[in-house]
Amino acid sequence: MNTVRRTSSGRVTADFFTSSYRFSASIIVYKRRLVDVLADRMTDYLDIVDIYISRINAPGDIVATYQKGSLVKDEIIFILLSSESEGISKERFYTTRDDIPLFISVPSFEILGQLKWGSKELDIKKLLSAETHNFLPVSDVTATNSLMPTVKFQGPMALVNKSKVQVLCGLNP
Amino acid sequence: MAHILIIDDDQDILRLLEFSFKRSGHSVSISSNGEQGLAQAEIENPDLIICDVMMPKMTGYDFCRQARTKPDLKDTPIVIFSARFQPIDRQTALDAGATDYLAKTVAPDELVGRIEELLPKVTPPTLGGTVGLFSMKGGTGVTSLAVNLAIALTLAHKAGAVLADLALVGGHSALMLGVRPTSSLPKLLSTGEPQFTTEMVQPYLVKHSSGVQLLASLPAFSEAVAPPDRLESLVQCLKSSFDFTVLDVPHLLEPQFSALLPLLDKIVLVLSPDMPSVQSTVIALQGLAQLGADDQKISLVVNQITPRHSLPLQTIQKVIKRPITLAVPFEPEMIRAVNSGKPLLLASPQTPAASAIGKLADTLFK
Repeated sequence: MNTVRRTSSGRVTADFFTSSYRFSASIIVYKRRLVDVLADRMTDYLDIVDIYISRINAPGDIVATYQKGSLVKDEIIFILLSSESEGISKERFYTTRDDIPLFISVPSFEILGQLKWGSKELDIKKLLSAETHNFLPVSDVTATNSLMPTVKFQGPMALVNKSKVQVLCGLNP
Repeated sequence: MAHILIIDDDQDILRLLEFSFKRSGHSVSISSNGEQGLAQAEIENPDLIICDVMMPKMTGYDFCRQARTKPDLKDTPIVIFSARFQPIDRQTALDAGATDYLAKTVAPDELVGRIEELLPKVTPPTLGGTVGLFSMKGGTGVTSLAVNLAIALTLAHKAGAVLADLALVGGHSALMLGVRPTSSLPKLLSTGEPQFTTEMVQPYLVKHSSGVQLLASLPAFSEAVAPPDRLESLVQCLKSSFDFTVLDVPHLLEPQFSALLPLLDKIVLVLSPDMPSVQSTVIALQGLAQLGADDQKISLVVNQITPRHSLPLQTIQKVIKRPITLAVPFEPEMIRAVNSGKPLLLASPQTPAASAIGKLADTLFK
């Protein structure tokens, strides 16, 4: 449920991953969804608040906390959400789509999950380049650190930075 | 119904959870940061604490670590409720001392359900024990404390409590409870049976509306005696028949009563804040030590029966050379309660003195 995750003040809390850090933080989205905030090309930064920082080798330990900060969008590898709805743009939310199993390699992580895909044949190049959104929504995600495979993160939805994708493999529906 | 303390810096979540738990019949207090929450928890001693992880000043993990170092909180269940929902976060919370971990992905009603599942496991089992209250000096309010303590134990633990007025002659427990006993302790002691049984004792008890059973003293003059072995057998019987046995002891250092010392789980030594009472208490403590009473069992209660010219507690502690367990503030309503036969705890439960006696019950049998 999202009555707790998205509060009346329009805050969404999520885990933002770079290759070395996990930032648990909130972002004020007002009435938008997080994926739409990320797609805002007017800024290269993401303003976050109430930031709790963990190193990737000990992701449960909080090494520092700060009240506010800015994340460079390009440096985010993926964002893990506790709710699927935040990761799907409003205009696509009610479209019926099939789930396609995916494997994605990004710096420091390998990501397994499902892609909601409407076309008959999966067009990976189109998926990575032509879409207006620069973060790819992947559901039922397990992200494994490739150097420390015991470090895993799971969630109902991840937004994977397309510019960080090294390889994306999928099956036709 | 449980008392739950919720600690979260998000006001929306605090309001939502407060509403959800109150709707389910629990009492709730809230705190918006870990430091304040820790201080609040020490004062309130809640049945369960729900704590966020991501809070300014003190994270939920640090809250758990610090709470576990506090004697009053070391066993209190703490449920971490966090937006960090990874398995590693759960492990980190458990390592820090949390009892359980719930992600903020659960609906409020589901959270209430999960917490209520935890509560029966954490509700303390019915406690029990025997406490003897006495004072070396008369007029310190031992009987009024004993009466109200027996009621506090009965109400707090929903358990059976018996109050035995060991004064033999002229005790005031029946008067203070507003009951008219048809039999008394001296009559019971004069029966010829060598060992007391529950069935034998039952007809000599009178039940007060609070649930407390009273074994009253004789209201008329008599040269009653209490042989130590008979008293011992009687207290053994009361201990086995009731969860709590409260003894109003006239003089614990006299031979017939000192035989009861090994049977007592707690000894409450009552004093008033004046020099004669303090001096008597010093002597009582020396006497108890000589009789081999376990020092850990002794609690000192200053009953502030007079509003003015009282010795400061610090001075009393300095003279007695040990800490005061509890101070019961002066309460004018206590006089009315005594005169009307309706104990303070029932007549004026909101008064500071009634709260203090309730706290004494909690402190003695935690």
